Amino acid sequence: MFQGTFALFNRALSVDFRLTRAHLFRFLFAILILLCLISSHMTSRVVGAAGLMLFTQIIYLNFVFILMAGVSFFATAITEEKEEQTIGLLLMAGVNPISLLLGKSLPRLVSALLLLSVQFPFTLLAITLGGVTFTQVIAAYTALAVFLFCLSNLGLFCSVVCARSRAASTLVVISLAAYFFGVPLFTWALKGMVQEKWIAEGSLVVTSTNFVLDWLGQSSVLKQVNSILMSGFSESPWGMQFWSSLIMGMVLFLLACLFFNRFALTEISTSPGRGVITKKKSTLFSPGRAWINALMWKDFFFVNGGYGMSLIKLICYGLALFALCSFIQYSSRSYSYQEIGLTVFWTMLIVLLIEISLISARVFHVEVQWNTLVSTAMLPQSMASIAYSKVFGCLLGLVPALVYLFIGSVLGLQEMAYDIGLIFAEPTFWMMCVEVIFFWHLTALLSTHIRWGALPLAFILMWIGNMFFFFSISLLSLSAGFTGRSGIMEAFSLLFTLAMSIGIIISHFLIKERLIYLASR
Amino acid sequence: MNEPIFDQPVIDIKNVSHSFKGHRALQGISFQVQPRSLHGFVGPNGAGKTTTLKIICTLLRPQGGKVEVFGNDVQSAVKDIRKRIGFMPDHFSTYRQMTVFEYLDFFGAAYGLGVEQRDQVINDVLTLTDMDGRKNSLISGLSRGMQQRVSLARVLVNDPDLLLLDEPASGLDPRARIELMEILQELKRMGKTIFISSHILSELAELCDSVTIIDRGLIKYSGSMDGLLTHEQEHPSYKVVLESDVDEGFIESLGNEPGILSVSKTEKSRELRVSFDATLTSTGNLLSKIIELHGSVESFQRDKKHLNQAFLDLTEQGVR
Repeated sequence: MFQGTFALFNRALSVDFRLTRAHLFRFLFAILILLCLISSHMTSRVVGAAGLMLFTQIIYLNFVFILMAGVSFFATAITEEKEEQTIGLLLMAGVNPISLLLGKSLPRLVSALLLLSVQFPFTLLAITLGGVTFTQVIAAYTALAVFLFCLSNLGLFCSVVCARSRAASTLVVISLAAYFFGVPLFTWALKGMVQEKWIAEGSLVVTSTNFVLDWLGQSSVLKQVNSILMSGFSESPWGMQFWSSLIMGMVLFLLACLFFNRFALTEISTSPGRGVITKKKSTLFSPGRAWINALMWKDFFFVNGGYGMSLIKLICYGLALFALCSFIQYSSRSYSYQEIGLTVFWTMLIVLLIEISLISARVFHVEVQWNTLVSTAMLPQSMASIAYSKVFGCLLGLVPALVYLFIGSVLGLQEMAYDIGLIFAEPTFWMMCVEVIFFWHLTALLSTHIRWGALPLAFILMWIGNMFFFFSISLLSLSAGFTGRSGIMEAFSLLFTLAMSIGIIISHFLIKERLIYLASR
Repeated sequence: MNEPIFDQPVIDIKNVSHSFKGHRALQGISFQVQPRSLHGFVGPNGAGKTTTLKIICTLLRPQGGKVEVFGNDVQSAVKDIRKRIGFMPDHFSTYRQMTVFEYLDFFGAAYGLGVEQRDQVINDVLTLTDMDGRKNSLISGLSRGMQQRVSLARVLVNDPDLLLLDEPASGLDPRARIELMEILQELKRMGKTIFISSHILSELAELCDSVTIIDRGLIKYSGSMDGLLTHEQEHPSYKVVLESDVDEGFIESLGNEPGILSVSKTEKSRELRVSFDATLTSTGNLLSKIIELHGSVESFQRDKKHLNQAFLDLTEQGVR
């Protein structure tokens, strides 16, 4: 029965062994643990319980990596077969759905668990550095391992019900957001409703909801890890979080099995959709005639949805901002126009950052994905001009967010003018700006190298880069003493900003060369 | 309008070489393509056809040698060359979420055509490719053959002088194949130079004026289609059809004539194949000797090899 599982398991391990990037990833992980160790060793002279610090760093590092694996590694287990259109072939080869699900998810889970277990002996070093007990180490790794099991099955389930890797990853992100933020948000909302006397405090609804929320809170891995990392932890690792995650993982696997035949065999379209673009001429949702800059036109309409999508965004952002401002007005009682302006400005700034990040991951990737780079590259234009036209076409999709950003900045101008001088004088502000621009370039570059997941990968790399930056500053500050700390910080910020600025310029050339290569491949 | 080229070769490839990760895809190839010709570029899979095409269409820079298109170097005059050529890759490279009209309109605008000019050109190319009725269809909803026509229509939007088509008939059903070949013949009549690659020689035999055969990065033959069929025959061979049945005595007598190397009967009773040493005798002598020995001759023609045989003779066999 499980011959198929073993065959898939064997193939997955062979592929993993041959992939350079898998080894690089593990190497990177080892380097990060080493950095944590050096950092703890350096700070042990001035900070007590260096072992606890090292242990905390390693556990949170693992936690972040598990989350990333859930979004990328586990969420693609079945969708990658769907995209390659090989599920039918596997089933025809006699692999039954359960064997297939096990064969696709087990190797990934085993690889991740191996990565987790291989660091266990090194983590024991934390005990010798002081501040951590063996019980804490065992409890933390158990909590993470069982969370990993649950997450791998969540990824598998999403991978079964979604047609594409992108959709599966998004579903995992939404589920994780609901898992981590749902309980505090519900608790806060319930409290508000009780305070406003909309619901009686002792009513059945409130008590039962509180009971469920309390149970969900107890089963949160974050809560469990936080309590493990507190001094004096001596509880059993087999608590509520362990059993609930284990049961949840099993339930998700069963659901994946149940839904497999319903979703996994559905034929997926390999053609990109038109979204809100209509075929009818002379409507707002129609692309009309191509502009003089045809590439801008194409990317504005067929990558970003054109006028129709811009209108939808304008309405949705407006409604969301209205709801947000009304809520703040209601909860704070005093809310001036300037504060409204600042709320709108900051909210739309975040939206802009997210939108540009998504654009940078998509703008070049779509051409590779749709296999259209050859015909586009044959236009009598340089690749640089083609690339910039595409970027500008996509940036037109930001107009709705920019409109609200402008309204926000006009309303909050007085308040902002007061702080703006101070902010501009801070070298770290400029470093942050350059870092964000660098992040977008890195995402765009990575999107031309990997099939999907450029955005999370760029995010991880930036996070590691920042960790390295702060680690270097900490080391230098320790050696220079605390008096020279701000000088070192400024000098390093400048150097870092300069390095990233050079990186941005280089990335333009690298992206161009990569696109030329992809077109000629 | 582009200036017409009359005498100089449209494509001139001199000693071009190219490697990928240690694999020598092209090993110093040289050939020319004459204007207004339909030139076939044939070779087995992995022979270097697509690499050569990509170099000609400026997508790939040659690592050695020189390539000129319309007298312009492919490395220095990229934009000028691209304006005058149309390249159709071996896979569908279309924006499938667009309608046929949107797709052609996009490329028309990208080539700098005005709205009115685009309307005219789009109508023309749709008529030529017999796609008038599909103007507002989504490309993703079209059949493979229709999508190939859309690709061809796109290639024609900028009215190129040279068309580079990489295996345009692959994956098409026989009907779509025939229709595509008819369109290509029409384009040739319109004065376009067409450079078409394929791994099936017989597919191009009736269509092409000239052919280049490539194998493992080396040019095995470049010239006219007729020349290919007689290429590498050491001694001229003729197929003779007599008006009456051939008898053994006649074969023996002809075989004993000076310069005659072999005389053999074919499966037909009145047909024989004769080869001779061109240094000792001539075609005229052979014909007069046959008439002298047998009497009347119904037909006398140069014996050509079968296309597939010619292709197999030129290319090395084996899986690569």
